[in-house]
Amino acid sequence: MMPVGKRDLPSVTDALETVAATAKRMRLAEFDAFAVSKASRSVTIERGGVCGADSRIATALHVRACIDGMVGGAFCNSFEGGEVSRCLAEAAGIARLMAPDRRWSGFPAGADSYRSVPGLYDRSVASTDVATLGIMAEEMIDGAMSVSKKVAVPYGAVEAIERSVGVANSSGVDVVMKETQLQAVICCVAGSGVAISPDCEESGMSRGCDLRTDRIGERAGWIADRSTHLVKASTEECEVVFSPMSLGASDSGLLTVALSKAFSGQSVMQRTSFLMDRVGEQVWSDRVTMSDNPLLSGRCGSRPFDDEGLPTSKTQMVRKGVLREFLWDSYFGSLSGEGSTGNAVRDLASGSVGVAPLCLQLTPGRGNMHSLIEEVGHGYLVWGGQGSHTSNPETGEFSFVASPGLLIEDGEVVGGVRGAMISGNISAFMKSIEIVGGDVVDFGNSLMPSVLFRDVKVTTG
Amino acid sequence: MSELLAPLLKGVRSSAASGLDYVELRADDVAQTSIELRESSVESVTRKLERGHSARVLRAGRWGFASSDGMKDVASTVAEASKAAAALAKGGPADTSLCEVKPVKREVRPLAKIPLAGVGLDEKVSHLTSICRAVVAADARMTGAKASYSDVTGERVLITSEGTEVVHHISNAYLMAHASGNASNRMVSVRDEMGTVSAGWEHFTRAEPAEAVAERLVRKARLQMDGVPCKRGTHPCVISPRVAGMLAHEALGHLSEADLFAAGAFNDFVGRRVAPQSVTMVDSPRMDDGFGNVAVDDEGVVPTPVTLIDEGMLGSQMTNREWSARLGVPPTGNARAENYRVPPIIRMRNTYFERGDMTLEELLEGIGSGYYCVDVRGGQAESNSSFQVSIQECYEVVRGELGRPVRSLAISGLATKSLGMIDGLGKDFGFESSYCGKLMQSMPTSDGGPHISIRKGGVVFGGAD
Repeated sequence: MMPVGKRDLPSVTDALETVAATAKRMRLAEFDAFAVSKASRSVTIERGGVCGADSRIATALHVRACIDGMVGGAFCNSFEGGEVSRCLAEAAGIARLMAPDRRWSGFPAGADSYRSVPGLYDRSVASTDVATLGIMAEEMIDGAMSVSKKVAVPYGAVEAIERSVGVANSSGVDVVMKETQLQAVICCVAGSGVAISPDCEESGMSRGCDLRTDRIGERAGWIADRSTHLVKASTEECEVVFSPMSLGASDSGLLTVALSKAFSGQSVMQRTSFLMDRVGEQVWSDRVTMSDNPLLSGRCGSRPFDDEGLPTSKTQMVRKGVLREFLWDSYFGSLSGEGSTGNAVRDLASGSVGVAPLCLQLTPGRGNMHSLIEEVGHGYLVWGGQGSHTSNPETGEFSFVASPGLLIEDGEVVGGVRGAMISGNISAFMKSIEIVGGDVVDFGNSLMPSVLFRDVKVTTG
Repeated sequence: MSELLAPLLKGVRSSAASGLDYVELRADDVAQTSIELRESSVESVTRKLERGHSARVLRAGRWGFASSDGMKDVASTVAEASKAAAALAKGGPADTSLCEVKPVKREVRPLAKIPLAGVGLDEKVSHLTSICRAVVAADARMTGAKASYSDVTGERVLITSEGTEVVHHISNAYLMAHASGNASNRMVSVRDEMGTVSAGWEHFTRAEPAEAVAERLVRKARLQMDGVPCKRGTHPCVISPRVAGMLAHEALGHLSEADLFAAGAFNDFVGRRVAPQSVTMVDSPRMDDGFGNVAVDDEGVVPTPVTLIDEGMLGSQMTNREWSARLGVPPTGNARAENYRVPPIIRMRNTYFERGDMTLEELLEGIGSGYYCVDVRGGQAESNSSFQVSIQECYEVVRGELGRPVRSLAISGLATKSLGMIDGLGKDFGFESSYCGKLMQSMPTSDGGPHISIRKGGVVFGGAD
């Protein structure tokens, strides 16, 4: 019997075959297609309880047509033959309006073989029903509220996703993969009025069913509870411990936002990376080794091929502080002579194909956030970076509020601070790494541990 | 008559005997054109065609939601949403109800003089090319320019079991341009953005011509290249209408959304003063070419303005039908959904401070020495009223006069304190248009106000040295 909320996933393989057959019929010699089919079930939390459930099916097909070096793109949300034909016709129509790209070298040829990446699909996640997600959400709420009676849970969600992704093109690429993801997020606050804590978010994601939502809730509840005892921050330069989330969250982590574009070969070719022209130089602390490794088993950013269908690989961009190389897709990799590293990423909103890390990793050291806190005589803990998404990835400049931010004295968190701004330039910042923790958290496109930085500029009112 | 109506009406009828308290069906049939361009080279042009529907149902005090692409078998999507709500029936609160509203039957059309769909791709590409070329040609230190444009046209339909039928003819367009420069090995990057949800292509050719956009970008980039670092700490300042808008949005706007108010810092300020008597702040569903304009919200409510601060006193909250019922207040029509794939949530529309009576010169004189913040590049709010706004155009103010430009920085503060430090409001008015993110949904909004002066202690300045 099919679980509640579980619906059949439209076939990506069939969609790609339809594209190929339609392109042949339309006599389109050069084409490329990317298809996604996704089923998700989720429950939402509001006001400390599970208040609703969702079940969604979504498909996306992005095609590109190339006519005499002119490339056009189109997107539709249906795999049906008529819509696929319309989509390809739109792409071909746009291509005919474009100026030829003299640097275009064609859609990339497929590889003979692809590395097997284990642990991407878990049948138990695919079959998780709404009622089970509801139980997991309640465990997360209970975990948060077990910390203190002061803790409240304004919102949160637990979601199970099953997805098929495929890429095919006229140069022989034809690959399909299936993946699952279970993810949970919770926001806690504690206290009331002017003493209320900031939003204390915590999240977790996994390819399998091993997500401990009660622990996620406990961590969010802990930080909210600690934030209610207000202490005063000072304008100073001192040691600061950054949580994994403040550095690695996919859309707001400081390192994810500030470094993803800097490592991109596209940015290098377009002269917008602050790391360009520095290969071989000691750019950061020798404690920093950073890689992109989508071949790791069971990680949420892991995958055997990129969004052009080329094999992914491990790329070490920085080794012991020395800049070694950048990430490439086929287009910019061809222009630079470096070749693709399998880092093409398709933006389904705009249809552009760019370059980005798939699984950015700061090589872990030892210990965890709490052992890093014990190393600090006087300093701060940054749990979340309010406004870190406004960091400037072209220049590396950032300025955000430590929120939640906590004061550390003699190795212990002594209370929450309000409005402490952290600012600087990421290039200088990465030179001041003191200790890299070992408590790696999976944020999908990054794997990030806690890190202790020294000489961090903190500003207060 | 929209072709989307018939399958949705059939879907509502299918649910009539299923014991559901409320059924809301939404469908989109839209086409999007996206262009990405760098200097004079087109990076991508994509045409996006989307057609799909969703069902949101209220069953025994709990929400169920389901979405599906295409328009086939709406009844099974309703059944799926109903099953999802029923699956949660054993635990947690089940107290959701909706305030009553009069059913609406309306067809909403844009006011475009030059319809977006009628403008050729070549003309749109040419407009972006003009911006990028003008930026690079303006100054030898400019190293690059990039422009992204997207427009969405088509239909969005809402049907409810209460008899509401709304057809929106959509005409949305948005343009963002970036400029990069390099002075003495120091890179700078600035941006500019604009959008419309009611006008047509004339918004870009008449209201925001390419030359004006390029000029703004170059001015901001030059200021960044020639600028000095800000002095970290708190200073008196004057903020422009664009920054005032961002402050309105981030400092109090989000916390006046009823779903966030309950657990927010202003919960303790009901009936109390939060700002000087001269300060009034409004969220309005209609303003001239407002990017957040809403004719009928995504629950079928005809929207009304909400006074968030009324002569310094904390005002009303923005609500959807659920929160209106919970609070026992009339609905304000703030329920908005990004597309058919997601349920509507409480969102701002056009949020602004009302005008005062001072000139910019008087405001600058009033602060003596400090900073004049002119343009923003995003921000964020928190439940405890902490706000952060990134500033990409700023000047020193020395003895009431504008001084040197200041490099990239951010301002922050606690709104519960900062609003009380507002010292003066200008008699001018302006607004900015951008996308606001909440719970993974992106929504067009406008934010504005007059020039505003803030005393020392109101905001903290931080930036890279």
